[in-house]
Amino acid sequence: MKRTITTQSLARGFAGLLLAFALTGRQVLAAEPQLVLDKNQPSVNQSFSVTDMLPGDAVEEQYTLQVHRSGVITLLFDVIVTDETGDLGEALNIQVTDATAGTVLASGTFDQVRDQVYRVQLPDGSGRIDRDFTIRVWMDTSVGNEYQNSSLEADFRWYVEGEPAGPDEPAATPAPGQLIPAQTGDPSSLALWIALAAACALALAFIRIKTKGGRGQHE
Amino acid sequence: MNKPNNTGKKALGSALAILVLAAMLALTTWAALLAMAKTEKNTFLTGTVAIELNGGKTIFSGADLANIEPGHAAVREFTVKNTGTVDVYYRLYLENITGDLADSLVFSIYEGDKNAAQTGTPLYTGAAADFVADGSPFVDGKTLAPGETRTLTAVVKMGEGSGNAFQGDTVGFDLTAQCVQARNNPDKEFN
Repeated sequence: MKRTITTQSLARGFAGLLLAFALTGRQVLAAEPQLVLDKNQPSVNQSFSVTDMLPGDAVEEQYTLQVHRSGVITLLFDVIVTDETGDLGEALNIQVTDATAGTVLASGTFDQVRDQVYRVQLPDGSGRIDRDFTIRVWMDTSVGNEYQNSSLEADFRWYVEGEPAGPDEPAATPAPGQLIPAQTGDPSSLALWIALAAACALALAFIRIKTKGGRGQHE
Repeated sequence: MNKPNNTGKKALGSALAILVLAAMLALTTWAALLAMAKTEKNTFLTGTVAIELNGGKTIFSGADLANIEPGHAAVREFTVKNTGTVDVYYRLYLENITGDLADSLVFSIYEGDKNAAQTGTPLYTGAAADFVADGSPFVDGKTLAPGETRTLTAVVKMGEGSGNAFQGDTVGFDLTAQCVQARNNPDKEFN
């Protein structure tokens, strides 16, 4: 009897945990906005890959962000420099333009723009809207020889205010006059939660099978 | 007698329930991922602007101009090579000029080897005092591509009218090559 009670309790416990994960997921999926950059179009949404850049050179890419939302949302944009040699961030300029609104979202050297978060307020509504952005990168003609043979690699990110920015990223500091909302989730633990949920599911299956097998033997 | 069937049905029901719950959990993860869009690994690499003059070797040695006479010339081939990654313009000029003999010397630059210098038209001719960076350096009108080597010939001639005042005089100088990016530089600015 003790063994039966213990396994039943365990089974209920794991089932409850798994149900909690699932219910949370249903709520999240229904309410969460979704952002999509369709990278199958060759003329837009492509990453920069620039070589032999010289003073006076300028390159530009276009981005069309699909936003699926319900209600008012605020887009956040930031630049994460992932690799750099020769302090190129001091000399390489970037300008991000919200082409839909016709406004400059961010402008300066990579050193000035990195780790800042820029906001775009989207109009109220539901369903899909597209937002166009232009990113231009250039070197002034005055840049000196010390930046020869240098490199910089960066990610450009769009995300929704209130959503986790991403794991293992440095904490963003707001630009003057801009606010950064508190993160509502801990994305660095996402893998752990998934692993725990999977373990619950497996444990539940194991317990159910063992319980049925035990009953069959006793009977 | 019905217990094995009930057991099987209950086990199947449990398995289905687990599958449904696991699928909903996967949706949770997917929803979190869709709340961000990004372009990764945007890379920017700068080029290099570099040039090599005659492989680093001296073009005119001291013996070349020793005992030079009015109307006589020293002729030397040399090369200019683009060792950078982009097209460049280059210029040549003298630095560190020493000796009074320099006042009687005229420098000419020809495209090609010595044979071409004998019959061709010089790309440049100028007195030593003018053949300097802030005077009248030789600027090649053609760009030099990455890895390209151009052969030139320098002719240093003592003016035919040079008088006895230059007897026993000597001269020393450095022949310098400087390059600058060709792109975004239509006026061939070297500063």
